[in-house]
Amino acid sequence: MLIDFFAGLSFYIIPYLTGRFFTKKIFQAWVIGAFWWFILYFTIHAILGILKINSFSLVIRDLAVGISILSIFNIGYSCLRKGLKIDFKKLPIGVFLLGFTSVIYFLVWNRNTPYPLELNWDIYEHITLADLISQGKLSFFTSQISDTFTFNSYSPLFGILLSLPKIMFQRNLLGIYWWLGYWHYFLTALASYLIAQRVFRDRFLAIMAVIVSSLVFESVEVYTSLFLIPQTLVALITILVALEVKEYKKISLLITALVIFLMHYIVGPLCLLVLAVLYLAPRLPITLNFLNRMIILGALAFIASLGLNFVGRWSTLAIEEASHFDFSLAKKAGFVLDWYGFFLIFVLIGFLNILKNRNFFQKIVLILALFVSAVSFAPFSYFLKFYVLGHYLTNLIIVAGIGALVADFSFLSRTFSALWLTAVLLIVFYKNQIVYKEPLHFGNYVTQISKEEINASDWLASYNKGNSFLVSDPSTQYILEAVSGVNSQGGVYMNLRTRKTLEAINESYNSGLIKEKLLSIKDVIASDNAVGRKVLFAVGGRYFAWQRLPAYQKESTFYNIWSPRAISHNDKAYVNFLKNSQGFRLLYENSQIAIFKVL
Amino acid sequence: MLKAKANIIKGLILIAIGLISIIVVFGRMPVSKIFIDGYKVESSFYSVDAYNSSGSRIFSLSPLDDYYYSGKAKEHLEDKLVASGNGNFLSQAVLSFTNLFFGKTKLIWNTKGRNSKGFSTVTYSINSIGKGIRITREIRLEHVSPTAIGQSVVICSDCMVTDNRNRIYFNGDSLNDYLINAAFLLKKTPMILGENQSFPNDISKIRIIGRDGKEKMEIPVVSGEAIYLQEKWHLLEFRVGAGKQAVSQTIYIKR
Repeated sequence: MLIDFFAGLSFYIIPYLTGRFFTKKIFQAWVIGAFWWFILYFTIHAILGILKINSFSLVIRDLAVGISILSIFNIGYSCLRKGLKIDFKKLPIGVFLLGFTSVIYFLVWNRNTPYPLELNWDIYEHITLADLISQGKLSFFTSQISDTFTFNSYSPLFGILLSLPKIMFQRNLLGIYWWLGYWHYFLTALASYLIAQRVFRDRFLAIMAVIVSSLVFESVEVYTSLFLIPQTLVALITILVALEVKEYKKISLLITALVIFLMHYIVGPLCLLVLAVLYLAPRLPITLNFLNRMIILGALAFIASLGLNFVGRWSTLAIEEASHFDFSLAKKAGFVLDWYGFFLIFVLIGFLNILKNRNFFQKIVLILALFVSAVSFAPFSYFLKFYVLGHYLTNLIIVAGIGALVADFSFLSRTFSALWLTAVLLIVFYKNQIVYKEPLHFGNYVTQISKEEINASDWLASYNKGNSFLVSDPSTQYILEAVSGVNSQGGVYMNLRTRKTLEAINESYNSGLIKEKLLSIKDVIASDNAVGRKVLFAVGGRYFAWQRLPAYQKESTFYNIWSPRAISHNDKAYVNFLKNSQGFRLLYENSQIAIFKVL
Repeated sequence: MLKAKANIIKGLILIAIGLISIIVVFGRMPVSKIFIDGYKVESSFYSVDAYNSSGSRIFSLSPLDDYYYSGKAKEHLEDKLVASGNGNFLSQAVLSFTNLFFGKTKLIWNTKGRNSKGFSTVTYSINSIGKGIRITREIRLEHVSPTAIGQSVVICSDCMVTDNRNRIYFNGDSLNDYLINAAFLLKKTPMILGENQSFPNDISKIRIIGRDGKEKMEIPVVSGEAIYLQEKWHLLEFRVGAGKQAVSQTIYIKR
C-alpha cells in the first residue's frame, strides 16, 4: 500500500521533473514533461523496432530514473544557489486542503471501499492500455493497441503517463490507481482554490470554492472531481493552465495545446477554446459593455440549448451505446438536483452580481460558464461530458452568488454561513454518493471488484506466459484482463459476434459445443491471437448473472454486471459439469470464479 | 440600520436555500431499497424482495400472496394490485432523514388493490433489527372484518423448509424414497404435510435451507401462530388471529 502511494505520486512527479528542465512553473513543467514523454515513448519505440531490441520497458525505466535524478540535482543546485524559499503563509491553506479532501475522500467516499477496491469503472481499460504500452505495444491509435478500445476518442498520452509508475515500480496499477483517485480529487480542489483566488481575490470565497468543488460530484457521465480519466484530467490541466496562460510563451502555448488535444479529442478542443478566450481577452480592446452583451448572449444560448431539448434528441455516434447517453431534459434536471441540491440558485445570484459589477475577469468566467453549459446540456448523446469543464466554471458562479450574499457580513457571520453551507452540501454529497454506489454493494463492501477477483487475477498473471486468452462475460473479462494482463476479446466492449457466441452456450450441457464455440472467439487485433494460445474460460457469479440477462441486454455494451457476484448453489452444478467434462481442465477456483483451460 | 436589516434578510436567504436543498435531497433519496448486513431488500410494483450478496432472491412478500380469513372464506388480501409505492413525499423525506442520520434502516411499501369484497390497502413496514428484519403489515379491508391473517413468505425456489427440531417438511400424501433420501443426505427427519395441515405446534423456529444444507434464513414462530406450506408455490403461510389491523413477523437472514 505504501509503495503504491509513492508510485501514485510518480504519475505527477516524473513528468514534472522532466518539464522542470524547461520551466520553473509547476503546472507548465508538468504539461511540457507529459509532452516529452509522449515523444520519447514513440521515439524509443521506433528506434528499438529498427534495432530489433526487445527491452522497451528497461530503456524507459532507465531514462525515467536518469531524468528524475538529474532534475532533482538541478533543483537542489538551484536551491543552493538562490536559497530555499518557503512561503509559510500558504501552509494553513495547504493543511486545510489536505485535511478537508482527505476526510471527504477517505471517510465518506471510500468508507466501504478499502485499498485496493475501486468505484471507478473506467480505470480497467486505462490499466489495460498502460499495461500494454509498458510492454512496448505502442500505436497512435488506442484501438490498435487493444480491442478494448473500439473508438479513438483520445491518443495514448494518458496511457503513456500511467505506464510510467507501472514501469518504474513494476507494480500492478490497481493499487496505484486507488491512490491516484485521491490525488486527482485533491488537485481539483486545489485548482478550484487557485482559480477562485485569481477571480475573486478573496480568501473566504476561494475556500468556499474548495468546499463546493469537493462536495459537488457529477455522478453521471462527467465525474470531474472523483475519477481520474482522460476527460477529467484534461479539464484539470485546462484550469491550472488558465491561471498563468497570459504569461505563456508561444512554444509553451503550442505544447500545451497539443497535450490538451492529445489528452482528449472531444473535450480537448472545448478546453482549447476556453484557453484561447482567456489568452486573447486581455490582448483585445474589449469593453465592459461588450462583455455584458456577451453575457446576455451566453444566457440566451443556454436557454436555446435547453429549448432544443423539447425539439428532439440526437445521437452523435452511430454506436448502440450512444443511445443510452442521450438524456431527456427532465433527467438532466434530476442529475443537476442530485449534484447541487438547490445550490444552483446561487448561479442566478452570481449571474446578476457579475452582470452589474465592473470586474472583467469575472464577466469572462461567467460568459465561459454559460457557453460551456449551453454545449453540455444540448440534446446530443455524450454532450454532457463537456460539463467536466463546467464543474469549475459553474462552481465559480455559485461562489460569486455566495459572495454577493455574505459580502457585508461580519467575520463571525461569514464563518457561520460557511459552516451552514458546508453542512448542507455535505448532505447533498452524501446522498449523491449513496445513489451512485447503490448497485455496487457486495458483502460488506461497496466496490466494482472483489478481493476474490483480485486473487484470481494474481493467479492468472502468474500462470500467463504471454499466450493465454481469456473468455468470460464482458465485466469479468474487463476486470481480469486489466489486473492480470491476460488478453481477452474486447473486455467489456466485447463485439457482437463474441456476445452471440457466448449466448449460444448459455445453459448448454454439450461440452463439445461449448469447447467449439469458445475456441472460435478471436481477438479483433490479429497479432494478439498468439500462436499456440491457451484459451481460458472463466465462469463465476458475474458470468451466470450476465447469462441470465435478456438477449437484448447481453448484446449491448451498456448493460453489465457492475458489482462482484458469488457463485450460487444452482450455478455450482454448471461449474461441476465443466469440471467433469473432457474438454475442460479446472486450473483455479474460489467462491466467485472458476477458471478452466479449454483443452 | 438598513445594512443590518439587509444582512438579516441575506442570512435568512442563505438558511432558506440550505433548507430547500435538504428537502430536495431527502425528496429525491431512493427509498425503494435498504441494505442490511450485505443483503438487499427492494420493493418493486408487485412485491418486496430480499436478495443475498450474490444477487439471488431469498424471499418475497406481496398482498397477492397474503391471505385473510373471514368465517369460512379464505381469500388473498389483494387479487389485483392497482397501485404501489413507498409512501408520500413527506414520509419519504422523514424516512430518508432517519435512515441517514440515526442509522435506521426502514422501508415502507404501500399497496392498493382489490379483492372480491372491494378495495384493500396493505402497508408493509420493513425495519432492520440486528441481523434480521421485522415486517409489519397494516391492513385495511373494505366491507370485511377478518378473523385471521395469513402472512405469506415466498421462499427461494431451490430452498427447503426445516425447523429447530431438525425436521424437514414436504407436501404430499406419503413419504417416498426420493424424499427420504433427500432428508437423509441433509441429516433431517422427513415430515409430510397436506397443504391445509399446519406444522406441529412444538416448534419455535422455522429454518429455510438451501439444497446444500446451508441455512438461508430463520423465522421465529410466535405463540398462537399456525404455519402452512404450499410447496408448489414455495409459499410459507404464518396465520395469526386478526384482533388488530397490524400483524408482524420477524425474519433473520443468515450469512
